[in-house]
Amino acid sequence: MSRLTSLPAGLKADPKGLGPFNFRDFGAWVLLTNDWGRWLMLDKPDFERFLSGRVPESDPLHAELASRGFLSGRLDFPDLAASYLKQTGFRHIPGPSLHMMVVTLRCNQKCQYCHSSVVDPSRTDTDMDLETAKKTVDFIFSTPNPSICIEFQGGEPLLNWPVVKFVVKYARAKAKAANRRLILALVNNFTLMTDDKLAFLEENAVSICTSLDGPADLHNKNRPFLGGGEAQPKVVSWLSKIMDRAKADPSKRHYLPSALMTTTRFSLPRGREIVDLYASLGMDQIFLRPLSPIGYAKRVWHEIGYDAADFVRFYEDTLDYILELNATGKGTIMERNALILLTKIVKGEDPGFMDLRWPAGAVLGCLAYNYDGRIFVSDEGRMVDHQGDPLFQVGVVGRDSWHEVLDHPTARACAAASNLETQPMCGQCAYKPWCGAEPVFHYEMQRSVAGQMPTSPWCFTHMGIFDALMKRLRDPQARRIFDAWLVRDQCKWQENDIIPSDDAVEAAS
Amino acid sequence: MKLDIDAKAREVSFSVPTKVYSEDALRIAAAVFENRCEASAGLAKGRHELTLKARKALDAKGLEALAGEFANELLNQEYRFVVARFNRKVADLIAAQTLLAARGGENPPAAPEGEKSPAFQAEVKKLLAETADEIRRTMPKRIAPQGSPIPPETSVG
Repeated sequence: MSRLTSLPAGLKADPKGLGPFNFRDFGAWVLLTNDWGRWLMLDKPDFERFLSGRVPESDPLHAELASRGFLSGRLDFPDLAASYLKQTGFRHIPGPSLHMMVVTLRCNQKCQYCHSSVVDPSRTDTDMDLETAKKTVDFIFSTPNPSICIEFQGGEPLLNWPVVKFVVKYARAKAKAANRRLILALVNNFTLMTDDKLAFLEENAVSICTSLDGPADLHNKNRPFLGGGEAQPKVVSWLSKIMDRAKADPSKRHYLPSALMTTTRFSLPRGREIVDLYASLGMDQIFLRPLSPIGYAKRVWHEIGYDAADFVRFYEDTLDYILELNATGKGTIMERNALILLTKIVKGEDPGFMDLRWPAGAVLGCLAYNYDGRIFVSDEGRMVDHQGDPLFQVGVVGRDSWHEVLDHPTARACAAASNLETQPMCGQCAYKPWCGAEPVFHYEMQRSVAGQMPTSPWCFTHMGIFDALMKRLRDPQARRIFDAWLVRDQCKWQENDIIPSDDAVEAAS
Repeated sequence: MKLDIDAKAREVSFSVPTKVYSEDALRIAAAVFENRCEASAGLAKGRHELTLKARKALDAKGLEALAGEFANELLNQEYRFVVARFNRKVADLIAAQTLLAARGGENPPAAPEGEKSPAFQAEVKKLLAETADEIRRTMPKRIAPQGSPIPPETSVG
């Protein structure tokens, strides 16, 4: 299916009376969308009647088109403006909410695709020191967003455990003093987890996320231990243990662990097995993530990478399997890409996902802090620096203020380049209300923060996922499953009250 | 597009109309292709005359592909200007709104009163001391990037 948009040949369009819209041609039917986030699927003949102004007021379709803002004489501005604000609220939020702290670059795994540009466990010079950790937390609390999420990343953050603990306690103290909302999350590989560490994380309401690429042979191939050995059994064992503990105590629901899978070439034929593993562990979601050609993955792309079309096929096949499990009552697992996009499309809300928003989340929604205190537009921007290109550095903790970071030319360039209203193809794409462009990805792939959308794998992948969901939204059974997912959805868990208050954390500890 | 290829010199030359392509688009495309070729341009009879000198050896087919990809990028950049001009009002509004909101006001917030309290200061001091002690006791010696051991941090400003 072409990714470019054009009117059917020979169609006589009468623009008078039409509201602003973009469309996507699916053959027998057409998707209409507008900047307010409203959408409608029309059969081809209805689309042609709409375009040529031949839908009479007496036709039920007329009222349908009018209520969704597709008829210029019938625009209900208060309603449409409310819809617009609901899904683009992030454009009115002060400062970033997500702060990724790389407390060490050291790691005990050597993943094939490592995005994080890690180093050997002996390289303690890449541990964040205490002074830098304090300055980083101070900088984070100098940004204006009332809600702060600090995510520990690495390397393997548990290799610098004292600093993780310090940041947790210091940030909690600052949040309490400033009456700021604080969410803490740890991304780790579980290989260094202990009962003591888990107890500390539970007591301090630090949510835990790990990587699980699938069955043991696949996971261990993608994510080998340095020096050999199997990583997957440890991940599965800790996931099971934490799931059991969380399920036994409803007050600990906030730290139900989550897992991310990264799709390599080896994963492509094994979607069902991967889903089955997640389901058997009781995970309520799986995130079918494409591989990004950033960091070490760029160097070995010829061995583990694939075309965007391969990923889209994998995504569709695996999503269909997940829907089949749900439809037959064999499982209730949900797919995270679908949840993120359906939250936008069906609920008309912003799920807070940094990669699919515009202007991009870089600086405006998130910041990454290197172990040495340097600030980057995102974790991907930090990885580009690790490969020797400091383009995405926008400041240093303890030296620069939030306003200096925001005013940095790179921050401005990322915001301007990711504005879809200035992008060829994006400006007229039906998915513009819900999509986004990623400056670091495009810089890595196409040597330009703006990218070249007609040849962009980013665009191809996301358009493929959008297409897959739109096709399935027309299927009543899939639609019922999607609607049920949205009710259960925890995409917005960070913004809901299932996160315990600081007082509750204090009481628990 | 007519191409003049000199594989020995690793060069491919072609021209594009100045009415369609701006110098800005040329400059940006040249910057995007900086790691693949050196681009030079001249003006003649209403056309930009471009020469791309590949940074690594390419045969005639490779040079032809290079010229094609460069022309695509040139078109991408020029069309980006066109789209940006067309949508300027809404694009500028969205960018300005988002950047302004992100600032969170012109004056950075002062440290909250709670952080100035002796109790808070004492808590932080204790936390720093405990952590420094734990680092000393439990962490491997820090090394400098060159590999030599350096003492762990014990004081924090």
